[in-house]
Amino acid sequence: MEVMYLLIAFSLIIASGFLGAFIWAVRSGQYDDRDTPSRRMLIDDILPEKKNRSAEKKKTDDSGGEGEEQKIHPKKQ
Amino acid sequence: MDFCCQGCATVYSLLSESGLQAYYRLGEETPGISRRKSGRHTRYEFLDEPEMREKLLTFTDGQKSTITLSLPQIHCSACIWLLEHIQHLDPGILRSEVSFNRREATITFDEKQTSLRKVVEVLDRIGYEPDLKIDSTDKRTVSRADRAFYLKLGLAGFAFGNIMLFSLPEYLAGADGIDTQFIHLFGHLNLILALPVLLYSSTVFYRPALLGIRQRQWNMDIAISLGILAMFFRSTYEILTGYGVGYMDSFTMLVFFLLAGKLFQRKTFDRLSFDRDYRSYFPLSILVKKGESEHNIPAIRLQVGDIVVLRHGELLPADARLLSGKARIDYSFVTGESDETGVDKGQVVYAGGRVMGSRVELVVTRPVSQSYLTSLWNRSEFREERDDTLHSLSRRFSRYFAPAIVLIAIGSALYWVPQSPATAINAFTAVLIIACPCALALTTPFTLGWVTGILGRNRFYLKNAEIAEKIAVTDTIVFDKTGTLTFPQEARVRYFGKPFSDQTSSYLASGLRQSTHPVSRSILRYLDHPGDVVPDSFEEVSGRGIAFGIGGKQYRIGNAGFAEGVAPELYASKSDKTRSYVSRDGVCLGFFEISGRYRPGLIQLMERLRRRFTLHLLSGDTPGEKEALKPLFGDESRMHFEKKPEEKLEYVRSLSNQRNVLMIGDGLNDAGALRASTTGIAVTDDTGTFTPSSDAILHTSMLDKLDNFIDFTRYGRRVIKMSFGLSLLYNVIGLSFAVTGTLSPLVCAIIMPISSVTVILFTTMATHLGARNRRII
Repeated sequence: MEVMYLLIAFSLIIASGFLGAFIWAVRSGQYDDRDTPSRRMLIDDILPEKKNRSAEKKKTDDSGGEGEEQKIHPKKQ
Repeated sequence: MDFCCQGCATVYSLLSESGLQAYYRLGEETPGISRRKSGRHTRYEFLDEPEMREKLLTFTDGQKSTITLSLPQIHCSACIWLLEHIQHLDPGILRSEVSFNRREATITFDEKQTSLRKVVEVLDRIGYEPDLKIDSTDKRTVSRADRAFYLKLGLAGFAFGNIMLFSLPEYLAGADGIDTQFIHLFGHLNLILALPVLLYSSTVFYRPALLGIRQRQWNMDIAISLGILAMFFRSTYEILTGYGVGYMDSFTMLVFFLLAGKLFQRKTFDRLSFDRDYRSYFPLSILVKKGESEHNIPAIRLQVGDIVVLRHGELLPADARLLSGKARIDYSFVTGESDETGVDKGQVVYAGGRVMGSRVELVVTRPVSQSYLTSLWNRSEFREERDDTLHSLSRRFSRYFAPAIVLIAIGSALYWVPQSPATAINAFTAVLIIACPCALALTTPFTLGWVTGILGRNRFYLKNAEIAEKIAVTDTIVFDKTGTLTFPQEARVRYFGKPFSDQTSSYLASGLRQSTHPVSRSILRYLDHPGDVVPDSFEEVSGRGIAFGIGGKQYRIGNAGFAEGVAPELYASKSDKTRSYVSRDGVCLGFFEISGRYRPGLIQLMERLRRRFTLHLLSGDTPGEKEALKPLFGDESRMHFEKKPEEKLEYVRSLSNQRNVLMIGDGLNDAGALRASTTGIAVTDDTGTFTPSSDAILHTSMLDKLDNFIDFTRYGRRVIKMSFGLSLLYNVIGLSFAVTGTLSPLVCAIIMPISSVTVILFTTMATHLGARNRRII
């Protein structure tokens, strides 16, 4: 039965590891805001397009919003 | 893409220039539609001043600065995305992080490339006008206290789980028991694990218990603390003497459950602010004239004798005397009275007045803190801490419960002393342990937590769970008129059609100003434009509309037959809304839609309320609508008009001396009355904008369900009472074991979770059933 001592020691060490992880998570502020990150992760990582400003500005004025809309969709897929 | 207004089109072109159009594909609502109308010209010049910067910035080292800005306009996921990519609009911004619940953005920026003022201006340009406040230092301390609470809960959970593991072998071993060596080892391990729970996690209960003892008032925490201490020390004694295994499992479980209950009760609506005072309404900075130069200074630094300059739509933060010729002042902010007041040179304008029309100069006669309006906040009602637990059932109950437990414990100890002192101590501690009101203490947090949550889903937000019990005891309801029973002036009008240029707005406003018809007044307020041009001609045709000529063009505003060139398909009008069409030189530009004065469902609501509550009306407005409102309130003697904020406060205070008053109001002028009442509810169309200090915030669209909500809080109280009965039953069973001095740890470890879990299940099911029956879920 001596092996029990070893097992108990192991289980306590592992459990303390989890407790330590929990304390770290709380202290690093992960529990401060439990809502925003859940929303943020649902947003795809869309990077703002880099483009030639002056040329694009002209285009925006001409074609309005619809043209823009179609252009960025393929990028998402 | 179609935009609601010129502003949103500008935002779109600004965003597409920087490659941020993805904004329009995110979120539940189409962004750009809901931009709040901001007719006022906002200037952020004062943000360049070192004093303002120092007060607003949370961190700065001269190169990098961080500021947390409150942005009430945040409303969907797209907002998070846009605000966190804001560095594409201003490369000087290094980092931006949004807290959705609190509606805040924490922005770090490079002082060399940009400035606080520029950052704020960028935000304002894309439609997030920051709500700049100087006294916003309390939020950070709240978050630190929250962290500690999570640590306490986590620690208790950790100890509970592990101690349970070490205790199970003993329970399962049966008659033979387990190896004494292991009993010894497990006992000591349990003791070590339980120690931090006693010293750290349980501190949540000690403090209120000590406070109760100091005030000589029994409370639930005293009973809990006694039970906790009895459990821990008796267990320690048993373990160290080798007499038994102790109750460490029950002890940690109890603390864990109770903390979880507290967490559940703490449903907060972070994005709402329940404690605003006049500072939130008044402008942060004001233009002051010194000699020939004009510059912005913080409004709170205004001194007597300063000359302030106000433009159209700006609010006066201190009492002042008019220096320039004539002015029109709109006091609706203070009184709810919708008509403008004319003021002559030399007369005093009171704080809270909004300047209409052209630019005026005034000399300050009283500082901000002592002005007519703000003196309200110097009254004792605002300085005293309000006791939210005043009507708490649990508080009332524990007044009898806690002393009863102590009496039973002492009684059973006295009974055993002659026969066996050891049994006496056992019985004494056993009573304290088993009577430790775990189930009882869980009842209130869970019931009220559910009630608060369900009401929140119905857009009725309570400041804290205790408010639900205060609402439940209501017997008298006091209503404000403007903005509560009626629509606020500016919300009544909507415009459909071709957008107006600035010049057209100015001409229309100038023409409308000549008319005293209520509809003209409403549209004028909606246009929110100085309108200083004198029309060349003006004619008002009674019952049809007005016609005027300005700038060589003929304008007509009125019903479909009166305005010219109205397309027949526009004729259709909804029942409670009237339309006013606008035409210029025979061409129809569009129409204004004006909704009825009273909120929909109001008549039915008042009828239902009148049967059960005493209703009062308290208005700052003239008694013009007395006859119309009389059937709603029944009795004329309880309808009061032309009440100043101070008088409202006095009225409600004297009323609440004998009765439990629920005050419902919307404006700053109700702030005193809201505070003096038993429970103050602020109604608002947009929970993101300002509401006066209150106990609860109700969205106006839900006002017609008010009686349902009050009903539900009463039902919640009934659930609490029933649940108290249930947990008392468990206590009686447990006590019958305890008084004999034979309380085995196993019995304790079984009764405790069963009672807690059944009580939680009962309150959960009962509240949801009640909510479903009332159709609010």
